[in-house]
Amino acid sequence: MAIRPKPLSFSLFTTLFVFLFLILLFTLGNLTYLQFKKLDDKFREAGEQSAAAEIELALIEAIGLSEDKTLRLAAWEEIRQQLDNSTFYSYWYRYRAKNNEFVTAYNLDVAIYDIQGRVLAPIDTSLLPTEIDTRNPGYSIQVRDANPLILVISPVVDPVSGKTQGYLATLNRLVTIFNSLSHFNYIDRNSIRITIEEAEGLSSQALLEHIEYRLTGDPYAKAIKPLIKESLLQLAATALILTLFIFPLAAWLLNRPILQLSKQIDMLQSSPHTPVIQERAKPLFIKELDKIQSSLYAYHNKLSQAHTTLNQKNQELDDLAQHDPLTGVMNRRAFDAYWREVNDVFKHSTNEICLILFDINHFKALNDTYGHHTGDEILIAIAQTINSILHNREQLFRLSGDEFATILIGIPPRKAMQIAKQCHLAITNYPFDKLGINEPVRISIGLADTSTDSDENINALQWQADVAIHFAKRPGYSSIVHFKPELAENARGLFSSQTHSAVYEAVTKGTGLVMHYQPIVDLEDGKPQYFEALVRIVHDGQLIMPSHIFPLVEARSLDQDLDFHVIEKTVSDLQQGRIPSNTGVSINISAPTIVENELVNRLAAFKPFMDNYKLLIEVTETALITQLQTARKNLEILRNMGFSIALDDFGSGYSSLRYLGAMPVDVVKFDITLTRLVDDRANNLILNHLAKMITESGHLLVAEGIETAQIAEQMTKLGFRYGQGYYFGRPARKIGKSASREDSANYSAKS
Amino acid sequence: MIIRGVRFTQRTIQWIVASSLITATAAAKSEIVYQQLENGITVNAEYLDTGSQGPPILILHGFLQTRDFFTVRRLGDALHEAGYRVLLPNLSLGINDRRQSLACEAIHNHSIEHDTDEIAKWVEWLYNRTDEPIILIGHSAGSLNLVAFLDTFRSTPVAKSLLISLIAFGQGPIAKENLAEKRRAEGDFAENSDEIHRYRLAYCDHYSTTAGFYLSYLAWGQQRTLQAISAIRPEPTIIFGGSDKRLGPEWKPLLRARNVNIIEIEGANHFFDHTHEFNLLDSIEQSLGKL
Repeated sequence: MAIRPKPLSFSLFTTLFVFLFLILLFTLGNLTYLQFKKLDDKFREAGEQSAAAEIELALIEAIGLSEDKTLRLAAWEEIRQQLDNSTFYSYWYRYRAKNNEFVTAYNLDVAIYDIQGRVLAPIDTSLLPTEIDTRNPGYSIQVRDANPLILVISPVVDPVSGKTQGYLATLNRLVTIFNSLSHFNYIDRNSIRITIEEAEGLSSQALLEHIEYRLTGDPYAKAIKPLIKESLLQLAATALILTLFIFPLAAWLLNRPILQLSKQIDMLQSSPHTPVIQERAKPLFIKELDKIQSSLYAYHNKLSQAHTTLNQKNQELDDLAQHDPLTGVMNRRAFDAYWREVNDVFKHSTNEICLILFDINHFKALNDTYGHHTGDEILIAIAQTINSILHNREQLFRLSGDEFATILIGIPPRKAMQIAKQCHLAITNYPFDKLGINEPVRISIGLADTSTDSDENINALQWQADVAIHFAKRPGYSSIVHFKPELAENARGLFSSQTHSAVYEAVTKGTGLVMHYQPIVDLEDGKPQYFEALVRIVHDGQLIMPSHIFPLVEARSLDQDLDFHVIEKTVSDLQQGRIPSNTGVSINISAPTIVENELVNRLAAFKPFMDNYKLLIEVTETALITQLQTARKNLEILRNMGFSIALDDFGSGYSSLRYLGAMPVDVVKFDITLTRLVDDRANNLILNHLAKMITESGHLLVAEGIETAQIAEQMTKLGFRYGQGYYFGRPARKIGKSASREDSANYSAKS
Repeated sequence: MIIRGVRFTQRTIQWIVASSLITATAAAKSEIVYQQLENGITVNAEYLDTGSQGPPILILHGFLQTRDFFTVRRLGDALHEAGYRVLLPNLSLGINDRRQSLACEAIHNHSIEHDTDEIAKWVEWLYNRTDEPIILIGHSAGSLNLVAFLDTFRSTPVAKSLLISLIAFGQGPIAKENLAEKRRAEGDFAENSDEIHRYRLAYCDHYSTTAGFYLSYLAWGQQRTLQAISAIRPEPTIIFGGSDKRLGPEWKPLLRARNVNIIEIEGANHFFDHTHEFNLLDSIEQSLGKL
C-alpha cells in the first residue's frame, strides 16, 4: 500500500524556499568569489612573471641608458678638451662635469681617466675611483648604502684618428633611472629596493636576485577586481533586499492569502451551514487566489443552500411520511416510530406512561349515511378538538380510519383520565350539526398506563388499551375505560396476549393459518355448488375463530396481509385436492385489499384451477371501499380472468344497494340478518321483493345463515337459488363426502 | 645701400632652388680638411669645392658657434651652389678638432689672437688651394674675428670682405662685459694669468677663461674695431639687419661716420632668419658681383 506523504504547510515551504534560495545565492556568490580568486591568482602569477620580466627589462634598459648617456658624454668635446689639457680638470669637474646638457639627474658622478686609467686629477668628493681597469670597459653594478649604482666606463675616442684618448666613467643611480622609466606596468616603482647594503662588481642577474618590489597588479585585474567586488556586493545586497523586502512582500502577497484561504476553509468546515459573504473577507490582491476564494465561497454557499434545501425537503418528506394528510396529525408510521422510541427510552424508567386510544362510535355508519366528505370533516373536527385539549403538548396520532391515540409521559393516571374526560366532553359538545349531522357523534376512549399493577412491560400498553376501548364500546360500560387487570380476565380469550401474538403472527406470516370450508348448496337439490373459504388460526392445538381475528386485523390494518395469506392457503388446499373438483371455492377479500393492484397478481395463482372449479371473490365490507373506481377496475379484471364476484353481507349495513349498482357483481349474498327476516311476515314481503328485484337484475342470490330446513324452504320460495348455513354444513377443515355435490345431503327444499 | 623689403628677383628664386638642393649636392662635394696648429691642436674646416674655378670664399661663424650655425651654413651652401668655392672653418676655441658649439661655462682656453692665427691658417690654406684672392665673409663676432685678422695680416690676398652683423665687444644691449668686469680681469691677470675665472662676455654670464684670454677679446671694443675697419683694404662691406636688436644705437652711425659701405636689410634681425636670408644672399651676390 502506497504511503501517502504528510503534506507540509505553505509557510514551511516558503521558509524552505527562502532558505534554499539563500543557500543557492550564497553558493553562487562563493563560487563566483572562488572563481574570481582563482582568476586573481592567475593574474597575480602572470603579474609576477611579467614583473620579473619587467624589472629585468628595466635593468637592461637602465644599463643601456647609462651606457648610452656615458657614450654621448664621452663624445662631448669638453671631455677631449680635458684629456688634451687637464690643467683645469678640477675646475671643469666642479663646474662642468655634472652641469651640462649631457648629464642627467641620475648621473651621480663623472670622472675622466687618461689612457692608462688614471683619473686626470683626483677629486676628494668624487665617488669614482682614481684609477680604473681599462681592460674591461663597460658597466658594472655596485651597491652603496643599499643604493644600486651603475658604473659605466667608456673610452674617449679621437674622432679624427679613431684612437682612444682616455676613459670616461659615470656612476648612475639605478633607482632614479627606474623612476624615470615610464613603462612600469606590473611593479610599483616606489617599492623597488635592494636587499643588500654593499656590493661591488655585480652582474645584472646577480643584482636581480637582490631586488625586491611590490606588484601593482595586472591592469585588467585591477580594473575588473573592483567590478567583481562590486558585483559580489550587489549580489549580496540583492540577496539582502530579496530577503528583507521581496520575500516578505512575496510572503505577504502569496503566503498570507493562501494561509487566509486555509483558515477560511477551516472556518467553513467548522460552520458548514453558515453562508459567507466574500466582501467581508480581506482582499487577496492576486487575481487567481481571489478567484479561488470566490469559487470557494460560491461553492460553500451553494452547498449550504443545497443542504438547507435538502433539509427542508427531508423535513417535508418526513412530515409527509409521518403526518396524516387529512387531519394533519401524526400517522400510524409516526406512532410506531415514536412508540419504539418511547419503549427504548423509558424501558427501565419509572416515568409514568399512558396510552390513550380514541375511537369514533359508528363512524362507518356515519360515513355511509353522510358521505366521505362529511366523514372526513368529522375526523378533522375530532382531531382538532383532541389536539386543543392536549394543547399540542402531546402528539396525537391517527392509527386507522377512525382511531386516534396519544401517549402521555410523566402524567399521573388521574390526570390522564381527566384529559380523556375533557376530550370526551369537548367532542360531545362539539357542534357537529354544523356539518349537517343530526345524530350525536361520540367517541370511546381506552386508557392504559404503566402504573397498572402488572408485570407486563410498556409493550403491553397497546394491548391493554385495546382491551380498554373494547369494553368502552360495549353496552354497560363507560365510554371512557381505564384498563384494569380484571378487564383482561374477562377478555382473556379475546385479548390474551398469547392470542394476540398468535393472531398477529398468523396474519403477518401465515403461521398457523388454516382454511375451513363451508358449503354453499343449491337449494333445489341440496347439492354443494361451491365452498366458502373461511379463515381460522390453529394455535397450541386450539382454534382461534374470526371473532378474535378480525378485531386485531382491523385494529392493526392488517387486512391486506390476511387476504394474501388466505389466497395462498386456498390455492395450496386446491393443489392438495382438499376441495372436490367440479365444485368451487369462494374467498373473502376485504375492502382495503380490493383496491390494491397486487391483488390481481396474487389471484392469478388460481388460474390453473379455473377449468375444474368455480371461483368466486366475495367482497366484504364494501362500505369501506373509498376508491370505487379502482375497486371496480380490479373487479372487472378478475371477472375477465374467470372469477365471479359476490357481494358479501348484503343488508348488514356494510353492503348496500349503492354498491350493487356500482360494482360488477354476479352473486349477492344476503346477510344472516336479512335471512332471519324471513320469519317476519311483513319483512318477508320486502325480502321477497328485494330478492326478486336482485334476481331480475341478473344476480344470483345466496342466503346465509340457513340453519333449518324451514328457512331453506322459505328462502327457496323467495327466489334464492343458493343457500349457506349450518343446516347444510358447518365450516370444516376437511370437506366430507356428504358435502360433495354428487352425494347431496338428504335435503329437499321442496320437501 | 639699404635694401628695403623683400624682393623676389630672378636671382632670389635661383637661391631658393639652390638652397633646396643643398643637402643633396653639397654633401657630395664637400670635404673636411684638417690642419694642426703649432700648439698641437687640430682644427678642421669644411671645404665646399665646386670642381670649377669659382672665387674662393671663407665664411666664419659667430661667437662660440660652429660652421653649422644656420646663418653661415645656409650662406655657405648657397654660395657653393652659386659656384663659389667655400671654406667653412671651425675655430678650435682651444678644443682639439672642435665640431660642437662651446658653452659659455666651458673652459675657454683660447684668445682672439688664437682665433686670428687659425683664420690666417685657413686663408693661407684656401689661397694655396685656389691660388686666388680670398673673399672673407663673417657673421657677428666672426666678422669681428675677420676684422682682427685683416688688421693683423694686412698683406693677405683678400679680394673682398663682407662683415655681416658686425659687432664689437662691449657694445650693444646684450653685451655683459663692462668696465668693472674689465678691471676685475685686469686685476686677475696681474695676480695670476693662468687661473680660470668666470667673467661676463658677450651674452655669457659665466665665461670661464683666464684673465689674459678674456682681456684679448675685450680689447676689441668699438673703438679698436672702428679703427681697424677704417684701415682694411679693400674696404669691407658691412651688412646689417634693419631690426638687429643686438647692436647699440650708436654702432651704425659710428660706422657710417667712417664711410664704411653698409647694406641694411630692412626687417632682418641679427641672424637674418626666415625670408631675410634670401635678401642677405641677394645683397652678398650683388656685392660679389661688383668684384
